[in-house]
Amino acid sequence: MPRRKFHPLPPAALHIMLSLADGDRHGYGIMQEVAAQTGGKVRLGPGTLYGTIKALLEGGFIAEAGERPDDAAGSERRKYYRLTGAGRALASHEVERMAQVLRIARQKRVAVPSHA
Amino acid sequence: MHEKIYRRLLKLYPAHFRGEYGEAMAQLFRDRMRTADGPGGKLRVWLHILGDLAVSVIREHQRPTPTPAGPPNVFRLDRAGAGALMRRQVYGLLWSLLSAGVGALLAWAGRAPYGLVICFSVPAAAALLGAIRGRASARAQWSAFELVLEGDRLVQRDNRGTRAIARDEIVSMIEVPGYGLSILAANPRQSMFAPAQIGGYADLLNRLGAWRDIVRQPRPLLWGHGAASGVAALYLAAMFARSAWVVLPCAGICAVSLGWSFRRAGESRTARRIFAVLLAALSLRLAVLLPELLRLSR
Repeated sequence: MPRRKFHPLPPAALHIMLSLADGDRHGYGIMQEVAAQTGGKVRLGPGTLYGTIKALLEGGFIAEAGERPDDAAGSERRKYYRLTGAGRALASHEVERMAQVLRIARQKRVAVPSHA
Repeated sequence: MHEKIYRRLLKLYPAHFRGEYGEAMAQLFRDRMRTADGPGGKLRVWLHILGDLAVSVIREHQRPTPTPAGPPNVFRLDRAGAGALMRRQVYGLLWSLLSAGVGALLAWAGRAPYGLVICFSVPAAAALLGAIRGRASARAQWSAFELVLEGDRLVQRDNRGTRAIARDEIVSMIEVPGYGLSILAANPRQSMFAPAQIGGYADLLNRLGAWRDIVRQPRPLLWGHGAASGVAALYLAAMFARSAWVVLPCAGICAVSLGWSFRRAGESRTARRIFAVLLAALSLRLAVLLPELLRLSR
């Protein structure tokens, strides 16, 4: 049921899940990671960030991972989040779907292939 | 200043969303402001925040309000409950202000030694400042106040932080009907208070009652306005009466009631300060009368 709400997955939700793919992070950490992984093009505001976190928590795609201070960001205690198995599966499914769209776009010469 | 404005803007979000994520959003805002650099850094953050706010406020209002399944684990104050608590705090301060103010007036009229004018003016000024400052902090505290039952733990959150107490750390629980429930731990920093105005109070009592017996106590007389006025009158008598025979019994009763009030003041730092200052003034008065008291004892 909750999965239907995330089909297609909103960009903010995908970015948040990708930022959690390699470790637990708190809200500000997620925002920084999203900004870093998109070269500063996507910068989530507090409302969008926590609204999406709430929806992902309700769907069981991410989970709370305790509260502790982050030495790099001051002494305040922060709530950490982690990606769940269901969240990893959803992100993977979405990335595959996007890859398929990209393949079609390249075949139709809508997107230019990248030669990294 | 920036954060104060942002906290006000947070009120645009639905209450349940704000209650759950308001503090984290304010924290994130602080982080953004802290790391904003360059001359227009803070302005850029504000522009981004306001853009995000405009979109996300509408989205959160469109989202259906969650209906909790089963008994709620989060207990909060509604608007009316928070208002009642704030009024109660203001009544206490007004009483202190009244007694201190009347004392100061009497002293000013020349019926008391000059030194006592200071003794009364200081608590009066402190009470007034406390009333002004306390109102804002009480609003912030009670609107952010919530108690959460997490398994065998009770967590209290408000604008000043979080404190938690485990089931086996509770030393005793005292309920004063119509007033609230004091949950006392060996470590005073873990002790908590659940006001009777909190939503689901009866359910909270039932669930905490399963942890440990709740002792019920009648509402303390001192909180009654009549008793408070009586103590105020005795206090004034102790401060201004010329005869040590009058001062001594009045001062004794006042010292006991003020000492007891000081202990009951619990979390309210302003109330504790006021009671401490009044006690100090009373002690000073007795010290002034010491030679006469010694003469009487002979």
